[in-house]
Amino acid sequence: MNDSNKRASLSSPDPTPSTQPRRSPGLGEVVVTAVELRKSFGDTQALAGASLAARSGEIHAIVGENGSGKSTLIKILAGIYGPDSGHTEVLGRSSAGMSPADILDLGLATVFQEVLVAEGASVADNIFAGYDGTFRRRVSRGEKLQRTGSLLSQLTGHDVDPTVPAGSLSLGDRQWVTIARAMARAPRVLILDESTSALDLSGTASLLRELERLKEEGVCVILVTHRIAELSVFADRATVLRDGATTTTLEKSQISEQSLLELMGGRAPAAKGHAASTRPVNPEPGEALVDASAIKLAADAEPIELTLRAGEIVGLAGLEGHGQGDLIEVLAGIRRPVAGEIRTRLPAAADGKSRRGGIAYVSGDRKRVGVFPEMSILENFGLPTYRAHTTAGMIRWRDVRGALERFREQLGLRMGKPRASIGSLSGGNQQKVLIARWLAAEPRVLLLDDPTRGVDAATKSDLHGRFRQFAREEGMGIILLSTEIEELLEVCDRILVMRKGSVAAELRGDAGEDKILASMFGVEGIDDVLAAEREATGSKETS
Amino acid sequence: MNAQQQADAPLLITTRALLARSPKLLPGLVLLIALMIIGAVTVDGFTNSANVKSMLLLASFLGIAAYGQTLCALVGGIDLSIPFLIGAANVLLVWFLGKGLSPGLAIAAVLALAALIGLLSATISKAVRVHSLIVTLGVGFVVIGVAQIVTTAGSEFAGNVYGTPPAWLTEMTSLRSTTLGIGVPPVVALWLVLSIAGITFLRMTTFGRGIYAMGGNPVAAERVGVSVNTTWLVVFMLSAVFAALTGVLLVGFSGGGVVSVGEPYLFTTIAAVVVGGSSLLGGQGGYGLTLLGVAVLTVLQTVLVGLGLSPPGQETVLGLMIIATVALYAREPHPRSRI
Amino acid sequence: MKPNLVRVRQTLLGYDYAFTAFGLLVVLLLVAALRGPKLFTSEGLTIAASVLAPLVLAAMAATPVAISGRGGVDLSVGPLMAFLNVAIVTWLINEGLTGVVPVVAFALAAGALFGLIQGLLVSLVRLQPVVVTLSGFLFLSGLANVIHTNGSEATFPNWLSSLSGTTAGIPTAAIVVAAICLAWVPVARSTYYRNLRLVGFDDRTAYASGVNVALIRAGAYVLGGLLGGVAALMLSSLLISASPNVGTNYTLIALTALVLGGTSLAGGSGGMVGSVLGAIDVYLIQYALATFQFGKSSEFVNQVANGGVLLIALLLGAVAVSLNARRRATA
Repeated sequence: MNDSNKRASLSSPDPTPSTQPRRSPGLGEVVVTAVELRKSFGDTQALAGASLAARSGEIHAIVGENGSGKSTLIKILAGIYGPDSGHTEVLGRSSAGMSPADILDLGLATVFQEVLVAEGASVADNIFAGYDGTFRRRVSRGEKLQRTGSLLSQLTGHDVDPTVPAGSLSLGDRQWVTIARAMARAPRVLILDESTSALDLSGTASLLRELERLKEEGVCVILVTHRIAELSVFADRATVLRDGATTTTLEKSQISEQSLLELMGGRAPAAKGHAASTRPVNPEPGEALVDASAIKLAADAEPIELTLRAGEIVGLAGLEGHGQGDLIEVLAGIRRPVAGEIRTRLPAAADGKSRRGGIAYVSGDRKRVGVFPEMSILENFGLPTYRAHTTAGMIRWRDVRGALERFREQLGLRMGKPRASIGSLSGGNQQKVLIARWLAAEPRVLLLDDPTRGVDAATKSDLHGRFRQFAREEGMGIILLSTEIEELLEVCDRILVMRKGSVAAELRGDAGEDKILASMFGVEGIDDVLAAEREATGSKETS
Repeated sequence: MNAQQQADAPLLITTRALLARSPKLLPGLVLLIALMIIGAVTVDGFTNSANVKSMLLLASFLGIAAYGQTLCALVGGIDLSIPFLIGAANVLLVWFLGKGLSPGLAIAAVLALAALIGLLSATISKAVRVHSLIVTLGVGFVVIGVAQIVTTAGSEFAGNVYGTPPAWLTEMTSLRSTTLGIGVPPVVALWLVLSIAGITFLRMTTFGRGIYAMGGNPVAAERVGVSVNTTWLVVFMLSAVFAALTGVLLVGFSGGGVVSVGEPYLFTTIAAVVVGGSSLLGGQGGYGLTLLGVAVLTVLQTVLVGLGLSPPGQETVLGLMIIATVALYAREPHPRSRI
Repeated sequence: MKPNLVRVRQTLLGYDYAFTAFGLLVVLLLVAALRGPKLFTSEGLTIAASVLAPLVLAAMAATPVAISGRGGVDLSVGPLMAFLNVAIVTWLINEGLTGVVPVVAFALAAGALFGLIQGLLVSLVRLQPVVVTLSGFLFLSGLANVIHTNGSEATFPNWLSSLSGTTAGIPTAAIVVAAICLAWVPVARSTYYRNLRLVGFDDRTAYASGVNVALIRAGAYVLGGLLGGVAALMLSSLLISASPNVGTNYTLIALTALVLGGTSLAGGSGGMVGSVLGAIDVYLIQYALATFQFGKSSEFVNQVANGGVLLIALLLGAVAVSLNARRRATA
């Protein structure tokens, strides 16, 4: 068979380092099982009954919205942490209590969402990380260099020097290093968590070709991705997660963008249409609050024009990394555009700091840029307002408490004592505290950067209502960046879809998902991927 | 007081509310009480007023020096230059006095120099992005060396400066002095005043809350208007000034300029912060906790001395105690949670 | 370029972290030759070697810990040397146990044991290395003084004091240090060391790839303790007495040498070559300063120099890092 030779060029003449006896599972046998996994981190329930059954010789997709638990599921399978309850089986063995090293020995290799590369170590050392034992070498240095070189040139299509520090590689190449690391193990199960995020279109096509090849050889490939269009072409089966639990597993024939989105979002198309029609009609927007002209996010991007008016909610959509995050940071004053300027009559600060009556920026990345984990709810809310509430240098806590009370009512914040730690609140309520923080500065413009990320459905809906209220009743101008199309359709008057660092399309708020998706992927995008797939299939047939 | 008033006035606080808000106080308090009982039982004269006075006196020096260390810990740093600044301030003050400066001017000069040194430490550690511990160690050595070179030039004595401190300074730190009729040396009262001011500063001012914000999440702190750079600078400047102040006060106590007077404070300020329960990782704790740590350390020292343990023996016990308390309060996250 | 030259160049570039220390060494040797040529006499070299040996070994002892990453810095290396020195004198020599085997075995075993304890506190209990080694510093400093008896001491065994002399015209201390360096070579080429560097660069990546991070990191502290034991032996040979208070000085010099030698305190990069060169640099700086007649102030000038060199080394390192980053960004 040609296939075993092909594998030999990637792996080694030397048997893989797995310590388990290698019985090759027959094609189609279930090799990875997860049953009713539950996992919480503090107050956050990441998994609430997630299950999975993946077979050898298939590409099994795992899909879900942000916060649906995909990465947690993967990390449990990889041995990074253990579940609170439920069990997992890999290649016929229970993997309870196993460390990442044990799991790798079993034959399951994972490429994590975070591009895990030790920047100071060489490319070869990165790829063969953990391959040797703690003291014993399994592969000679020369062989490592040689295999690194051939593996990377096969995957990337160009030469990479295995001795240079991995930090000197481009982000895309670094992603390839993490993929090569998993492949160097010649695993029987390969898990990829959003591993195409740093790859461009041709890189993605190349990776998908590799995965197809591995599938032919009986490897079970588990693919977590939000690129739904690709999935519907490549995936043999798809498991859909929502709110930490498995909703269903679809067979190939059932997989379509439509069905996946429905299952992820949880609403039937009819209901969605209904929701769209009950949206309040967009009144005539008011004065221009912020005027962004000729903004270029990158040297080779098209310039962006954007005017935000009072009373309107403008949505920003796009696939990850296509510039919407950068654009909102430019508007917030945190990031400098390559070219262009922002004109506003509001007292905006040039550094993301809010001024009264100005522009407020609320991020959804609470943990990193929002919350002070050790401080109380009151302080997390009130920090920016202290200066306005001091007498002779001392903070008037009563006034701050009063302000918090007003927002508690206004936002429907569910909390105990104001002096309780912020950690005692659910994710949704923490986000409300942060929104309150910025509202306290009475902004005219609200820049919301994925503000409902990881927030439960009820709170999300509640917040949507309030956003509309701020715009309609208080005349604020709001920009809402969201990775959930449904949210954008629910809230926005118009939606700007970003592609490759500029605005690809401007759609009305009730445009419908298909149009938005099409703009996000760009019609050419899907076609390119399909063409690449056809190529690969074609070349297989002729060989 | 009803709950509303309690919440609004963090200073006027009942013990129960204090414990409810800072559960970390409990182990420290338990430790303190346990040590006091051991002391009362095993050490002669532990509970009589002379000993209490002496403990308060020692505690006030450590307490004042530890305020700066507390600030550094709150922003995630460590200041190892404190003992060197204490020693340098000690000899420089006597030297300035010997050169004819008035006491007020001499003290002001010493404190101003200290502020500049704190500024230097802060700037270098920010620029270099190495733990402030290493930077302040280097700065400390430079400072003590320069101070001794300056004071040695032209004198027959190397390092120490002999001179007479002003009488009021000696009286401040003398066990025989009283403050407003109460039988404690004035330096204790000074410590009390500084403590109240220091705690108020940390709890009730915008800048003080900004220190906690910066220690907890520097990125978010910038977003809410805290200037991380300014805060870092001010923290290290204050730390240096409080260390110098301790050195100045010790002049009255030791009767001359002795450069080694800072040595006992090499790690005790860190120990006081750690044992008190503030986290060295930043964002958590406060001077109230440090006061508890100071009390524990002072009582511990007295008990150990009473039991016949020499200063080195005390050092050994101190090392063990730091490990034990940090193991309770400040464990780092496992690599798995950082993926 | 000829293939051999290419290989040599490649190997040398692997040590680029030590270039500053090496450059400084050349300069300092010139200064020493001009200001204090007595250094280069047989007697001068022997004395220099005996003084240098504990310094170099202290710097070497602090290196694996720094490479292990996550803020690894060994503040306890000086007091460990002081403690072992006092322990050897008080517990072994004064009790008549003067043979090579018991003394060396004790130094190495005790050093390794202490290193293991610190290593476990860092890797299993997950305490900050700064705090652990700081406590270690206090603990050992105190303990060294506690066990130190100021009574008359028995005579030092010859084999130990002769380590500060010469063997066949070559300073014995230099031979010992060279031997340790040679012994280090297989360690540096080992799989363990490669794993240690990986852990130091990014322990998350190492963990996710199945590397036993805790074991490897703790091992770095054990290695540090072992080398600290050797350093203690050379210190004893130099001092021919028990000196419980020299610890602070050695810690500072070790850290300065480490930083000067280009080992990053962030972990992963750097190595022994830099630390050895850095230690020699620090010694030569002190030697050069001693040739100026500072009189009473000479000790203080040394202090300033020590602190100043540390700060300058840190600043130079930061400059190098940012230059490197800029170079990479534009590449």
